[in-house]
Amino acid sequence: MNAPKLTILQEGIEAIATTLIAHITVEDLDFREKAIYIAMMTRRVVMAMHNPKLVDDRDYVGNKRLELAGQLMSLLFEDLFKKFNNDFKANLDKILKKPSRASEFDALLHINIHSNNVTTGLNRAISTGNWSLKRFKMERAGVTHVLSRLSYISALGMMTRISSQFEKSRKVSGPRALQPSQFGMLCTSDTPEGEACGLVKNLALMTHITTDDEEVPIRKLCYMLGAEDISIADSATLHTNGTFGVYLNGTMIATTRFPIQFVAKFRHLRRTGKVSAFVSIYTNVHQSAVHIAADGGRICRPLIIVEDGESRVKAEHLLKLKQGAWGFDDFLINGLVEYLDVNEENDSLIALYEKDIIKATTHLEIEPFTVLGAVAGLIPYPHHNQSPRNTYQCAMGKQAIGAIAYNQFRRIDTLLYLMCYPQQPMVKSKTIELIQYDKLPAGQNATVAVMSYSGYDIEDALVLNKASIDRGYGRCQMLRKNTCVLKRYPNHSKDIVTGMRVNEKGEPIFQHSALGPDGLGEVGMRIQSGQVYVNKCVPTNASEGVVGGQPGINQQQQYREAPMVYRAPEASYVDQVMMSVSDNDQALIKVLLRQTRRPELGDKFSSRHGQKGVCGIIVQQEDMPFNDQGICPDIIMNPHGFPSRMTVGKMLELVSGKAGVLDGTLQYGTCFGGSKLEDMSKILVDKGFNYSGKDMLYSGITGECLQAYIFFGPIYYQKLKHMVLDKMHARARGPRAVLTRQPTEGRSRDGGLRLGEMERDCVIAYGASQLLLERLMLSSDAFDVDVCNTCGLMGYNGWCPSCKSSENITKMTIPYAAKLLFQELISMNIAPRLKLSDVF
Amino acid sequence: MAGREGLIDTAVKTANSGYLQRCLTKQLEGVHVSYDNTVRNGDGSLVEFMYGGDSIDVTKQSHLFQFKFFYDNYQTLLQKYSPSRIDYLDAETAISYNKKLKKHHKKEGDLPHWSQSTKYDPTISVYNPAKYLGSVSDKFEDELESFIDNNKSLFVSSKEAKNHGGITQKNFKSLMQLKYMRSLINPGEAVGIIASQSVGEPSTQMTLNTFHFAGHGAANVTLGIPRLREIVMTASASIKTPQMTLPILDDVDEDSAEAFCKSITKITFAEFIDGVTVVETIGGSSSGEGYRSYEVNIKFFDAEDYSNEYDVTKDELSKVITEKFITALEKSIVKEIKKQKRSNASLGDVGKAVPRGQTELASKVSTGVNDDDATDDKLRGNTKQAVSYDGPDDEELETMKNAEKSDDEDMLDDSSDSSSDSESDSETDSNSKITNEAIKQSQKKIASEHLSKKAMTSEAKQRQNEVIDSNKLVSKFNFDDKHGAWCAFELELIGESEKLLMINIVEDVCKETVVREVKNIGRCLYPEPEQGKRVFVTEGVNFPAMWEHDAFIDVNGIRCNDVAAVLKTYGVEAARNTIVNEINNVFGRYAISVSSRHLDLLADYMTREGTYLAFNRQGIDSSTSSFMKMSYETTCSFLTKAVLESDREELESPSASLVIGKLSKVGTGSFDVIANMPNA
Repeated sequence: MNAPKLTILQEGIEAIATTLIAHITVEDLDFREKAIYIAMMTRRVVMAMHNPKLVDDRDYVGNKRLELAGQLMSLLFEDLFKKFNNDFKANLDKILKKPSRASEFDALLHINIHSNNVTTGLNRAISTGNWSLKRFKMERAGVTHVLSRLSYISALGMMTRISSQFEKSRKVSGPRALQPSQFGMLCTSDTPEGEACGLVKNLALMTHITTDDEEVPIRKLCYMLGAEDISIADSATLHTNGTFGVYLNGTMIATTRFPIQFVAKFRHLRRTGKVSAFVSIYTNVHQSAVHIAADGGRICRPLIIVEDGESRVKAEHLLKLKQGAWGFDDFLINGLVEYLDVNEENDSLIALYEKDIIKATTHLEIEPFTVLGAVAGLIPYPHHNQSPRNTYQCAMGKQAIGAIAYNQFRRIDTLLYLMCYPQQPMVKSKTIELIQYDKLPAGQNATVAVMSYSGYDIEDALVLNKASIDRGYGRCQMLRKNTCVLKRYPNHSKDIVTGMRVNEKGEPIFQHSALGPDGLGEVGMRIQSGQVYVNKCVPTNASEGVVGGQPGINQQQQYREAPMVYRAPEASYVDQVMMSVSDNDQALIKVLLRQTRRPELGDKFSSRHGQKGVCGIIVQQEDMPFNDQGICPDIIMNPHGFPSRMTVGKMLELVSGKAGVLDGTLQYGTCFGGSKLEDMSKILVDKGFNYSGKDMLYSGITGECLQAYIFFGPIYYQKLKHMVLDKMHARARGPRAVLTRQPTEGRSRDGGLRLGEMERDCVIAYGASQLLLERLMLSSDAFDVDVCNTCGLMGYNGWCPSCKSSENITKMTIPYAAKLLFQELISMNIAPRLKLSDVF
Repeated sequence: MAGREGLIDTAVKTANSGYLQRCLTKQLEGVHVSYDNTVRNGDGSLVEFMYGGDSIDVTKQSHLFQFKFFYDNYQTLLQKYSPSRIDYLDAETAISYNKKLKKHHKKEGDLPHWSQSTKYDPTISVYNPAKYLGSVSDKFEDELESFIDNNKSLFVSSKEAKNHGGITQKNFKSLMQLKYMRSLINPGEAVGIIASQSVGEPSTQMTLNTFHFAGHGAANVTLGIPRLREIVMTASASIKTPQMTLPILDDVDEDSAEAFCKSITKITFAEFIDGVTVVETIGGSSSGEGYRSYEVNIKFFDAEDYSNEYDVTKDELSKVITEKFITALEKSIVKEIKKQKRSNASLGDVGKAVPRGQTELASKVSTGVNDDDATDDKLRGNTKQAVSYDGPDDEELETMKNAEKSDDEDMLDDSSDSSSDSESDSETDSNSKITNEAIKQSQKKIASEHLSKKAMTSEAKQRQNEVIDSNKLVSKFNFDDKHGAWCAFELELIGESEKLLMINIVEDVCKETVVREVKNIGRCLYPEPEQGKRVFVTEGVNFPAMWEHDAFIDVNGIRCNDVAAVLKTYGVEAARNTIVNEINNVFGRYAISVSSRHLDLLADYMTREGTYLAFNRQGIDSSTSSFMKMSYETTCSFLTKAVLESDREELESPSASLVIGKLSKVGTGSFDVIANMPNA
């Protein structure tokens, strides 16, 4: 039924009432609130024109809102549900429209057709990450990501990630820069380097993101607190000097003449729990406004309330916390701690430590080290490092190999890296304890000597100790999953798994030597390249039609082998075999293959300070320098990495770690705190070592004392997932791409390396034209064509199809890509004619 | 903050400088040295007559002038170069020509260069340096001569040399000239790519953002990669900070220099004004018509102050007001009125769509326009990106202004150029709010006082009559002739006109009216003299105006950083030199020195057709090789152009040779080897 047509005037009024500034509802055509809103907007624009400083800063964190999963999912669901309704309705309409209906009408039947729409829609959106909602005209890609399980920290870090909507536009440095308002809310060092630098941010340790709160109770509360409702106030009172407007979520609802008391009373109510803890209130003097924000997506953090120069949190509260009687929520309910969002932080004076509290202080930081996020909390003494080094470590900590989870041996992941002997760091931080990284660590404490040795440690390469590696240093396991589905075919035949084949002596043939009697690889068997680990067989008549076959007769099935063969240079072991059923009732076999890898030349290691390096040489223990007690270093690091990088935190980590080893305690390297250097030096001196961590070492090769004191101690080193075995690649001749007949791309396809444009320029600059010709044509896609002299087009077999003759044909060698180009041009009706002439 | 800025810079600048190098390389890839020592493009067109002016290879030039070293190692060098084994070495022709040349120059040495005769060209341009021993560059020849003259004691006469051994002057000189011949650049050398790589690689070491001069007085120039892009890649006709450097003549003293500096600076009317007040009255005239009158009172600074500061007298000021200011004010008032009338008229059509120009404008602003690489044309196709973050770019501002202009013109039917800026205003020194009643009253009195008949002398009355005659809206006018401290006038409009924001109009017109300016020149600065050379620096370029002032400045020494302006006035060779100087400046700020041969080649290539061509899509258009153009950027458009013109591709450029599998003509491919087959 169509609604009665409205006149133009009515349509206009309806548009203003509903469509324009839709979030303010208009009841009974009372436009006053909406009119005030529009007037406020205009006023702000005029004020900004007059004083450019009043233009809102788009990068200020207080002006930003974060979209959480719930919001996105609700939008998606709304869109899908409405679509489901529309489809169902359309379906019913189609049926009910017909005048004559043969079968009985059952609506349930038709619901069932569409029953899966919402589920599959949700599934598809989440798995592809494309949120394309027609109703809201939203086309967003990359909303979801697969959680990376490289290590525990990478999973944790991914969950604190905030990705920005700005595309990777190059020139803009505004959103990429570090905002002061980020303090305490977003981690300052944790951002990826490269294209997405500064656009992808991570949450700090204690941040909380608010959700929507009810507006109506807060409105009533404002009126109760003495603010005058805007519908009864007139314009004169609105604009007198000293009247502050009260805005709830950006809409003006009231005015007050006593803003300071109003704000104080509101805060008092919030602290006693009458108003939700996440509602924020702050004053903006330039706009003469008091803003109350109850919307979701604001980022806030908790701070201790300070009253009359004294923090409200006293020793007895902390005692209760220690005993476990009180939790964080108790502090919140009792008004000792409150959540401040970025805008409200502007109104408060926050002291860092209790000793800094002055009369005007309103809040006290709970802990300064919560400025950093979870991933940056791994770094010991980050406040002594140059800031880009902290950023590099935040990127590399997520690639370190370590333990994933407590159930890591039960999981079957596509690719899993595990460390054989992980250790918790000697120098840890409070953050590490809070996130329990010490239960799932990703590295080992290596004894490091900082000296130049062997000359194989140029440009950040490391020298490793062979005996340490033999004893398990840096050893890791790589687990890979291979799936196999036993399909069912429409003609009722299915794949099966057969047993092994035997040779004359009765032994299984080489390819099948790892299989058990059920045709699957035995757990613990070693599988080399070329061996079969699932002996699958495919029926030969799989594509035959169903009709024509008589179900009763048991036909002899013919099978041919389509086994799963292992192809990799290194051997693996079968770790687990799982048999299960997939969702469409097909048998599923998953085989988990495991490889244990020793560190070798080319494997990447890094410390926790952005000092990465590749293993340069593995030296015998006899050749390593040793100290009086006979201790040899596991890793020798080049001292040239320190001066320009300025990572003093690493040096402190070494001293603290050494003191901790001698003392028998784990030390702390918390940001803005941690174990003090004087105490550590004292421990060292007490135990008989040098206060600065330097030792006298003897050379392993000559046996004499080295002429300088060497900085020697334990540092926590991580092994990164870039191992040379995964990257090594060579090709002499190999497969070609079909279309262009040039060598394929990529290591997995045995591809060649590209001689790109800039490399071509370098070869030309040398004047080596023949080399260029060889690289780009002869070794790649040289092709012989017959070119007709008369028409200039290509022919074949000595025959020119356009001239229809065999005379005047010349044989030439051109790149296949050129021949392809000419053919494509010809297909577009452009004739590229080759004019040939003699060279001499 | 600083750490993050460094990381952002590193991530963003690699793309920019990489693109710069690619643009350079693509066009210069075929440039090579040919067998006649000229530098030619792939298809044979000439770029330079001699590489770097003297045909010396860059890698071999560092030791060329170390004569003492060569003297000490004379025997070794003789063995190394063994001139006796070189066939066809002509050792006399060039040397004798050189002697004649030197004699001729000795005669004419003191004459200015335009009156010297051109009978004898430099040796190196007449005789091929590869074939004739002694054909060396002038600079080398002079240096060699001075070394020999200063160290006469090292050399012996030829008689002694025969008897006792030793080096004669003639032998040494010949050896040096042989060394020069050995240091020549080899034919076939791909000089173009070497030049582009030599410029592209240091550009990766320059930070992305320009850094500005701190402190007052010094002019603000674009630096770094943006400047390099301006010069090389876009070759823009209007650069962001055009400047002229004027050397001051020695006999000019400091005070006159300062006075001159002030005299050419642009001064707007707004700089004299201390305050402006407008009093608006509505009334009915005797004839019963309503009128709306505005009394404007402008208060100036102290007359002594502004005449000291700007060297402008109050008479000049009053002339400016009567001649320029009032007319401009009237024009803009009339435009405002017309705009109002027009918008009133259009109010009646409810539901009329917003004019097309404005919606396009909005959509243009919302796509982030960067500079001019072709990826933006592609990107504009996929519109699902988020709203642009940046404010409008320069180009966008242009488009916005043009769109506004066209809208205004639509609405006004007026051909006068629009003076309404869309930019926000800076601080003005006029108190424009008429808020307080008291002030209003007092100023009403002042204005009316100034305009009362008593206050006007006869001259003033005459002036007022002139003003009233020449302008439609003015009804009264007066100016303070005694102290030059105020000016008041009254404007009358018909009563039906809408209320105008007169104070804003007056402010805008004040800012635009110019009291004194040299066209195109903004500020003129007198910076600290470095190395004793005093110069003026002006923002803005206007050569003919500067030629008038040859009493103060050395007109022959004017330098400019705007290549297009120099090209227009001084010609292509001067533009070429400007390019070289400017690029050198850019690198010089970062203490990077690029050999001048590469910059010479770059500049010569850009000015090869007599104009200033850039290294972008438009500059490559004149190249003969279609494959090179197609493999550069917009493949399809170049392809269609080539097809429509039935282009003939000679396959001479390296890109085209690679496409077809031919040997490229640079380097090893610049010659063929023919074997002498024995007869059977």
